[in-house]
Amino acid sequence: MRMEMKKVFSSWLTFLCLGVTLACIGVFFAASAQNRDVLSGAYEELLAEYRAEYSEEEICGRLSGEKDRLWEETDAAGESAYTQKGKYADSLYGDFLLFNRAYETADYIYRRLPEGRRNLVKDSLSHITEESQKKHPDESVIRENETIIAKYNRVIPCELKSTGDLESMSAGFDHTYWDFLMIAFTAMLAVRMFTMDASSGAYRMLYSSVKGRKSLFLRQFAAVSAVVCAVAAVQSFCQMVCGALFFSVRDYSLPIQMAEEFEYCPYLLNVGEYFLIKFLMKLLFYLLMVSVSVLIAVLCRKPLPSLLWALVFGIGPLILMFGLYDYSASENVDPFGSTYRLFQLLRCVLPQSLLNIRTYFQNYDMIYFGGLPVGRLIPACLTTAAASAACFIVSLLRFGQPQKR
Amino acid sequence: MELQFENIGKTYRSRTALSDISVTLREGVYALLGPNGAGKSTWMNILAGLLKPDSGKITLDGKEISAMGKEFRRILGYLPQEPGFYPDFTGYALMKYFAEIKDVKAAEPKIGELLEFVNLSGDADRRYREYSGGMKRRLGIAVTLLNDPKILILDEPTAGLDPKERIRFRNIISSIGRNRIIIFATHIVSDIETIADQAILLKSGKIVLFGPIRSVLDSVRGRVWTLEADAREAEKYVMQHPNATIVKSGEHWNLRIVSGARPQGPAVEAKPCLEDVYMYWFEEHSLEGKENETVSL
Amino acid sequence: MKLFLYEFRKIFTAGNRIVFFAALALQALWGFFPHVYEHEYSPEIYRRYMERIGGVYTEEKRTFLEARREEIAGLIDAYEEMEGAYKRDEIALDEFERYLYEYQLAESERSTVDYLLEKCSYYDSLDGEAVFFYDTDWADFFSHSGYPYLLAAVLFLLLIPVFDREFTSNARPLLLPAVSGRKKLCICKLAALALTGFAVPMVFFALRYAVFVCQAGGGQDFCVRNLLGYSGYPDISLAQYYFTDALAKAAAWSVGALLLGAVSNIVRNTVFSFFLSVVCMVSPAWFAGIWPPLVYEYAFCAAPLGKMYGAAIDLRVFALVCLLKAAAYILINLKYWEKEASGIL
Repeated sequence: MRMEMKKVFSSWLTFLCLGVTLACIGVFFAASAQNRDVLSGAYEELLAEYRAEYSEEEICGRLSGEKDRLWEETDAAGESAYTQKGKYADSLYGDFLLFNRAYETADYIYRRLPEGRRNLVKDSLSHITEESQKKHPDESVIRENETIIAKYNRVIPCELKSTGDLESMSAGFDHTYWDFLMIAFTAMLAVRMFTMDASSGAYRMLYSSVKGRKSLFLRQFAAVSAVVCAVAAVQSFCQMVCGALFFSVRDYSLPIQMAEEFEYCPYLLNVGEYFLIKFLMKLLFYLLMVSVSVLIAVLCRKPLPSLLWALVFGIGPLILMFGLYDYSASENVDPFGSTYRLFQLLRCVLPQSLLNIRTYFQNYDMIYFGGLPVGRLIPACLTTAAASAACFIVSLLRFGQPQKR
Repeated sequence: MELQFENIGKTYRSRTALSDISVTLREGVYALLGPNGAGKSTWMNILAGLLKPDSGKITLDGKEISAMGKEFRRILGYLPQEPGFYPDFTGYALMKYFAEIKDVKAAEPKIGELLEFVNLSGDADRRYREYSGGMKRRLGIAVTLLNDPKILILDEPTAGLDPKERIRFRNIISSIGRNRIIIFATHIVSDIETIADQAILLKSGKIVLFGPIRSVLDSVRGRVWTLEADAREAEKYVMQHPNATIVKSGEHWNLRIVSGARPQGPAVEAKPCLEDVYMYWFEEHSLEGKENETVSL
Repeated sequence: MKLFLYEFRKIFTAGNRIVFFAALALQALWGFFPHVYEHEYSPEIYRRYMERIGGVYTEEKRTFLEARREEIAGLIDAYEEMEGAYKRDEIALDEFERYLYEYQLAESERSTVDYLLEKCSYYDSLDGEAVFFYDTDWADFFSHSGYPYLLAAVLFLLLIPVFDREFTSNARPLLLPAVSGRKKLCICKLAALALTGFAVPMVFFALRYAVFVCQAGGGQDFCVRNLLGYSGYPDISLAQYYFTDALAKAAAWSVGALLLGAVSNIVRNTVFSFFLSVVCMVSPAWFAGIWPPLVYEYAFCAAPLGKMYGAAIDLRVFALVCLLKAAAYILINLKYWEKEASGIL
């Protein structure tokens, strides 16, 4: 594979393209630094102090009282509230913001989160009872509600700690522009690798034996995949560093439900496991992109059309998913309408949905295969893996075959 | 018309492609002969204006061609080894396009004439990608002749052609060779014998021999030997003279050896041909004593 | 001129023509595809109000709207009282049901009437005549133009090979030694690039407009300042606004086409040309957040943006920046077209 890696990087332009891609990570880093949470240190200090001093039952009340007291003090201080030094923050007003935030967190962890889940369980129980009392009860409704109870009737081990600003951390790195860039970069590398021999005429020597062809294909495929995975890994690593430096995302052992956007996540996952799944899903998609780009390059043999088709495959459905996601997240969405149902179906099968797995973990998002509840992410993974395998096998079989004129 | 090269040199990073090339060319057909990497393509690209020499100058009738600009290009025709014509264009469309590029006025009759001349009139409406190798070369020469160039540069014009196409091509070159300077680079010595007036032998960026074909052949007179031997003797001779050509003839082997000294055994002096010239000047082992030798005949 | 026509025809080969027309068909289809956008008011109720109060904005219309808001507020506020009265049997069921019906209508109308009153305040601040008309479709049309991915794909396909093909097919050694094979040919190619880069987007934008107007059914002659938040624009019609924006974007794409030529001339490899061209053309939009807004819109010529040009943009400055960029790209192209390769040709 070393020779194939040399082939990938035989031109200084590959380094340039790689540099451009990595430079974008630097820009995201800079943008994140601009939006960093300046109060995070003081906030963690406050939480640590209250965690140590008070019990879970007392914390909410203490924080609420302190918050109200600071509000009155701020109101009375007028303009000087912004200049007068606070206990934790640089100003009295800053202290108020911190306590307000701490209270919201405590209220969420100790009251809203368990209450919300309890209500879900109660609703499910009443649905089961209601359905059971019917003359012809629908078993699927009962099963679904039983699953909901099983998923939500669990204690989430929350602590009064900061998960950090997961949303801002994602906004800095997990956005469509990066996905576009990686798709283009992956397509470029794969198409270059697999059209280079055809365009230079070297294929006449390289394809002369069956064994040589297959071995060459595997090495080339591995080389391209390795580079793409390495870039994805660098990006994820930078995101973690960014999260730790600017958004206080340091404790990866905290349950994911401690972030409010994942309040109704049915899985017992921590922040670290969530990011790991996210990274693996992205890798799976990029490997699919490699497979598809290789297949197109092997069949087409011309660089420009191969690139265009690879981009159409990679980016076209992503734009579609983006549009549908926007629609489904709006307030006017009709959950029984055809557009919403199309979105839900595509989330099960379209590989591009692996690039943003947040929606799979925000709610009870299961489908039923033969009565078994399965997270919607699973069929998306399986479809992607199957498509990758199919493209890989077809490319391997077609690689080096004479083109039909 | 006099095309003069004065001290032309070109270096790529640490490698010298051409070194101190000085030669004067007049009307006629010049064959540029040399092994791969000798500098033939570099020289032609410099003349065609695709590369700039690091040193020296080229003048045409006393005027520097770099200063002449368009005036020089108007009388220049260049056919590279692999001309990159557009595969989806027909032969006729390519001729028209290049006529426009070469600023040829009233090109239509000229195009018809040239297509007839290279025997492509019947295939003019076919796409370039459908042409055979010979047809592509003939179209290339037709395009090159569009502007009736006075200086014609052809890079390996007959490489890859079958014997019939090669003969046809040679005939074309011979018929247009008068009143023009034609420089063609080749490995194929039979092309030189048939069409070239003079030969320029190039090795490692330097001219080692330049002159009329007869004189070039004379440079190896008395150095070409033939002899007959059995298998074991033939093997010995080949070990001593790796440039020897051996052909089986019945029970024996006929050897042709190029060597300054007469080989041992029943060697008979033979009449030299251009292949012998090539072997003598370009084989590695034959460099002994010839490193600084340049002959202008 | 002939050489320029040749180069232009080389762009629109048979295959490329098919792709171009297929893309146009897709663009038209996309325009007819129903798009659902969120609004803070109900578009249906808004349309009904426009049928009633459409036309020149007057004080009477404002008064009417204010009175209607008070009625609605009164209806909504009366809910508790009516519910209590019903529970106390002071009113009959059918009366309560009639009230509930009015109440639901009022709820759905409230946001629309609030929006209309907001418009009234906006119209009060405008100089000159303001007109009420059903402008929801126009507002959506302008604010949801989106990045033109299809147009970008078509342009990349058409424009990258203009120079790239001469390198990959090895035609350049045949072209450069010819009389017109250097500056003249390069200029003709650049002219073909610029013209295609201008004309193709204009066709796309015109098609988009035509499809929209077929469905919107009118209003294009109304002043753009009648749209909420568009007070910064001059006194031009909606159609003029759209076409001014289309011209600006087409000019930007034309400059972008010259950039594609420059990338091809420098890089001389199809795959890398394509990737770097995509990055050059699209990346400014990715980093819009880190630039000061106006600097970004001028420097990167608005083409990467999906939205309409901002009111703060001075189109003369924009045109000047486009010209300067075009001049720089032309010089780069001219230099690199004749520049020898790093190795033996």
